[in-house]
Amino acid sequence: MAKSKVAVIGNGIAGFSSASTIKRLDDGSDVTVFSEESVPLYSACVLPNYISGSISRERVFVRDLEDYKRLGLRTIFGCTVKEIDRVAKKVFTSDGQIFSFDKLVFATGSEAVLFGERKKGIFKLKSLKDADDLLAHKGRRAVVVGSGAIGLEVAIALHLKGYKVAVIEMLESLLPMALDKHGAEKVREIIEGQGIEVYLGESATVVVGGESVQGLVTSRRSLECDTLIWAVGMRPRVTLARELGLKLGEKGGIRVDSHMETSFPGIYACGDCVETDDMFTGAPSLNLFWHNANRQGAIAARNCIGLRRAYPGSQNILNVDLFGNHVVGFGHTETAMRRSCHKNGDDPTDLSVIEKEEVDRYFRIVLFKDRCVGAQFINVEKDLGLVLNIMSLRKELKSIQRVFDKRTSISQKGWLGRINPLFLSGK
Amino acid sequence: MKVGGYAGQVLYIDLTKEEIKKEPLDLDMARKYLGGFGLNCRFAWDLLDPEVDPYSPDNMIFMGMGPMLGTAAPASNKNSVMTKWPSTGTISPGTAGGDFGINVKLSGYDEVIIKGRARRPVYIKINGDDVEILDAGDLWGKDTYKTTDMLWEKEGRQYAVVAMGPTGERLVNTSVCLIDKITTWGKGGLPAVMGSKNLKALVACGNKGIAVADPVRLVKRIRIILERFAIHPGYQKLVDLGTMDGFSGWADVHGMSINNWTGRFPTEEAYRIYSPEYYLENIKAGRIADPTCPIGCKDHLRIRKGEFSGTEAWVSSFYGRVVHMAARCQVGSYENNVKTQHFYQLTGLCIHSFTALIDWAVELYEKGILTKEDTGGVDLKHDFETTMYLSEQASKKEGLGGILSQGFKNAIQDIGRGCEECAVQVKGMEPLYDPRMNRMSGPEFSQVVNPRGAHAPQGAVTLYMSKDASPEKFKEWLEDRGVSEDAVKRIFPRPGYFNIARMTPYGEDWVGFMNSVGMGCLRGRVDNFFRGEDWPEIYSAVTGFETSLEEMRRAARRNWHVLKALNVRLGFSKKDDVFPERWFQPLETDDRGTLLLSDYFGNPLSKKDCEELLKDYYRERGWDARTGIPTEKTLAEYGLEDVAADLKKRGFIE
Amino acid sequence: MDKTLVLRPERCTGCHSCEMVCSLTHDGECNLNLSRIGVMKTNGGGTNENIPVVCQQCNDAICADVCIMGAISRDEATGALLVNEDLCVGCKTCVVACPLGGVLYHYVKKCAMKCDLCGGDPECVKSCLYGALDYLPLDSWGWRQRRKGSENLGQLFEVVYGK
Repeated sequence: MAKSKVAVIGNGIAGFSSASTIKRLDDGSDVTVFSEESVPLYSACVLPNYISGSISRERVFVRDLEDYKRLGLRTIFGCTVKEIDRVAKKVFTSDGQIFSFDKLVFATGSEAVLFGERKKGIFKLKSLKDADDLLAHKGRRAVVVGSGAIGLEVAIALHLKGYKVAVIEMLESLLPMALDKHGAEKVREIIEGQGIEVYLGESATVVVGGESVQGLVTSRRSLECDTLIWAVGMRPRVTLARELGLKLGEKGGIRVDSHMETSFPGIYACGDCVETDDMFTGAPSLNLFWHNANRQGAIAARNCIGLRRAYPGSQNILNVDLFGNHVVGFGHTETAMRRSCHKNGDDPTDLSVIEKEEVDRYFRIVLFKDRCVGAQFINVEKDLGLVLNIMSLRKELKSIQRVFDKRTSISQKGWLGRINPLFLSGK
Repeated sequence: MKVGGYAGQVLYIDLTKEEIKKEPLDLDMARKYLGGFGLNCRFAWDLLDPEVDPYSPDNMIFMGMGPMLGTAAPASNKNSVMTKWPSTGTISPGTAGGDFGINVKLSGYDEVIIKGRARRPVYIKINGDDVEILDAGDLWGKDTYKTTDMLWEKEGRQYAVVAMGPTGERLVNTSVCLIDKITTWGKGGLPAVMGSKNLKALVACGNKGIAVADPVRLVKRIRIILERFAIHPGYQKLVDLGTMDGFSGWADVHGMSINNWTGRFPTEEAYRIYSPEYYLENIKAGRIADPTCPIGCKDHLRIRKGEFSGTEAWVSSFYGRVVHMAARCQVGSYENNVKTQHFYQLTGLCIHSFTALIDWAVELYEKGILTKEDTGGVDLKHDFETTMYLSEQASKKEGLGGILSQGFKNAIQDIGRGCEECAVQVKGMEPLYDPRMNRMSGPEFSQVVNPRGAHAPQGAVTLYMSKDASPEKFKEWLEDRGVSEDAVKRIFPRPGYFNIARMTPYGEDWVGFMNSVGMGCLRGRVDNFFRGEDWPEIYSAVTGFETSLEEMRRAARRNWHVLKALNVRLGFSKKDDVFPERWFQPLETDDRGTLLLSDYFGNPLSKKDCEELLKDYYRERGWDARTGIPTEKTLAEYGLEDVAADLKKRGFIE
Repeated sequence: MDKTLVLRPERCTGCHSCEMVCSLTHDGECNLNLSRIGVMKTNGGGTNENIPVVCQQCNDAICADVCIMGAISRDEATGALLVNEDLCVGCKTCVVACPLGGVLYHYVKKCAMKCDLCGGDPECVKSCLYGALDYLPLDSWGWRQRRKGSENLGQLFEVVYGK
């Protein structure tokens, strides 16, 4: 292995994962991590916990600056990367620094989709600063636009802080990327049962207010609020990549091959900024989750230093706690599958569903051509990993159909089929 | 101080009112009676009406799980049940291993007390604090395996299931429940008692922990005990053979009675048909252990040859069952043997009790006391066909099989015609060990005095079947298990001899003790690896109550006094502690000559000798030698003044 | 890691000793729900009756990947994947993602729990005299035993659930 000089653009989990993996596997390499934030790696996933007060600000951090030193990583924090010259192999920062590199890893992450003007009282929840700002703002009535994981978690956090909260969702049900209608109805009962208002099938049209937000007009009603949260989705941050000329995918993320390499050799990309193949369907997707970014970073790192390793695909894994109710979603909903069947000209009769409802639990498995492509669970505590494993292995359910049909919990603890070779790779 | 071991609650279930009540466990009472079997005795004394009919809603089922049960201590798994048994009319214990007890304790209960009668078939579900009485309509009528499968399907495999088969529903007295399809529980008719309450099953799954006062001390002792097993050169063989390691004991060293105690199963035939090698090759499918047991001996069986190929069963005490079917029933092949065992498992028919009744019935038929009219036209023989015929009848409670299935006491009454003359039974229960073959050792003798009836083996425990064990070995064991010097002197009055009648109480106490604290096993292959000091060490480490072996033995003896008193109250006394007539007749064997009743050392025993032994037993127990009833003085010595007072009031003690 | 926990399900008798001693040594009480190793019972007509289930300390661990606090990391000495309880927020994503049921939720501490190989001297192995659990050096024999244990389990489930 040649001693590489690697520039990692971004200090989210993808960036940190790739940087630390490179250093771990190739101690002599020279690795620089660039970040526009000044703080060490933190978990954006737990920002709602921080907002609600259940964890302190310190606990949001996953690493401290000492860790970077210990790992031998050079850090350029608090300034942006202005330009990259891929011929000269140089990185130019906004404060005038210049760094040369042999290999480059893009880990620029994603940004929240926003609408309308910025007013006081309008927030997104992407970064630690967003959370700090929201906490500093002492509001009383909040409207959260979007009912994905972030939207619902923020809504609950604000509710626990004493806000009167309303959630607006454009589609017909909550958590639409993770749950079909039946499961989503149960979620709605949980959320409304705690006093959060839910409006489905309504989109935000006009933000009302001058300097500060005073309300939101939806397609059906007017709501007063002093706090407005946009939680309508994330999109890859690809400005720098586009300027560099990297090929982008149909979903808007940086297109990478199966070894996390971009259209330019020697330049890799990982995390929320990339577009990858979905593990369950094989289709190009934006599965913008921490675990995908983490794994992609580690794999990009290996390929970057010459250890060939293929990326098996990204997974949609949603896991939220809604007032003590554990809601989990893997892969694709039946609704989403129907849409893509229609689009691809596939036979919709190849789609089927197994569903089991009990007093305190619910699960649904979505099958396409007898392979499990999606699963939804509410308060099921066992065997979820088993289902995820089956989905990842793209195993046909023919042989184990009866297991799902008959049993509330599939087995005592989840083992099934061959152990995923991904997770038990040997020497 | 953290109190460990005891879960801390007593669970009361009233099936008539469908009411569930939880009371805190009185720790002083628990320590006095240790728990498990001991607590059952005390609760039965306090709560169970002695006059009660076993099938009445007022009969109660007491299930006790000792403090060491479920605590990682090796072999800590015995659950104890107590009720008034329909087959014998005694109030006495039944013991089983398996997962039910640990899940009850892990749910927070040391004791479960059930009374009443449900209006429709129900099952009881215990899951931590949640205890429910649920509808069992779809389970009624199903055999034990189907019932268990259905409950696992419904509640999850992690639930331990106590199931009764159709025998219970039909109030067949010679029936047993099955725990998780394997472990039998309640010989004497637990299913019948449950059936009379419309209780089809119990399921339990724990969601709490059992506290341990000193985990480090406990782990230390566990390692010491396990080391003894691990270094034993024959360990793996013991595991491989399971209970079949006792094969040569019955086939060769001692023998098994056949033809209703008039013959001995020929050794050559035993080896030819029922060898351990054949078992390993064609019958055994897997090994299952009771919780925390280091030498599991329960079997997963699958017949791999012949017309019953594919038959699958899970059984405990496999070797005992083989013997019953081989000797009492003479079914003729291993496959037939396992096939019948399978039938008994499914129906819940008690293999121990019913095979003895078949054996007796065949003789009655041969003598002409039973005729073709009684048998429904069938010739009764010692063979597979007769066995299946009568067993099927029994499971349906029809015909002659049905009459026999109600146990000796009822069958003798129903058949009449002097049939009791050749009935070999004590207090309505069939003995297993023939002292003419085994010589009068602990298990043989205790069959006479056990308040439950001729239940085996409750005698000198681990040394049963050890024909070659010297008196010294017995002495060693007794001393290791905390028997006092004085008692040892009385048991071993001179070199090369022991008084079995004086030894038996210490063996009985020990078994009662193990079933009270919930740790230990009466099988020699397990018990031989323990030392007396293990028990107080573990009890102290787990509960936090520093207790000595002497104190624990005392508590165990107390429990036995209560057990006896429970049955004295029912009218049992010396007159019921009988040596079966046939034991005094010579045993003509094909290959061992004529065997006579003798003591352990080969000296013949006459009726008078036995009478003396019986008196020695009572004296050693501190009971009245004329009546076999505990004296007021003895009871008071053990803090059982209230028991004495009650017996006095009822006129059993002067 | 230089030693590996090996499973031999064909020898497991379902005695629960491993579970009891695991919870006993980690949490001071005997509790099947606080044990990091579990015995799965089938009585279902499979070739095997009882299956020990425990974290396999996977090379590419999905639990470490999904942990949103980076709380799961490899112990250099034993090779075990350890949960840092100070970092863990109890989100259960690792519990949900593990294909083996090797990561569990400690309902008292409210965080993830999993096999930590007891710092290199696994208690469960010491309590299993049947040989269903072993702790072997990772030479070629150790690797083969580890593989065999996993494959054995895989085939076993095909039989139990596939019929």
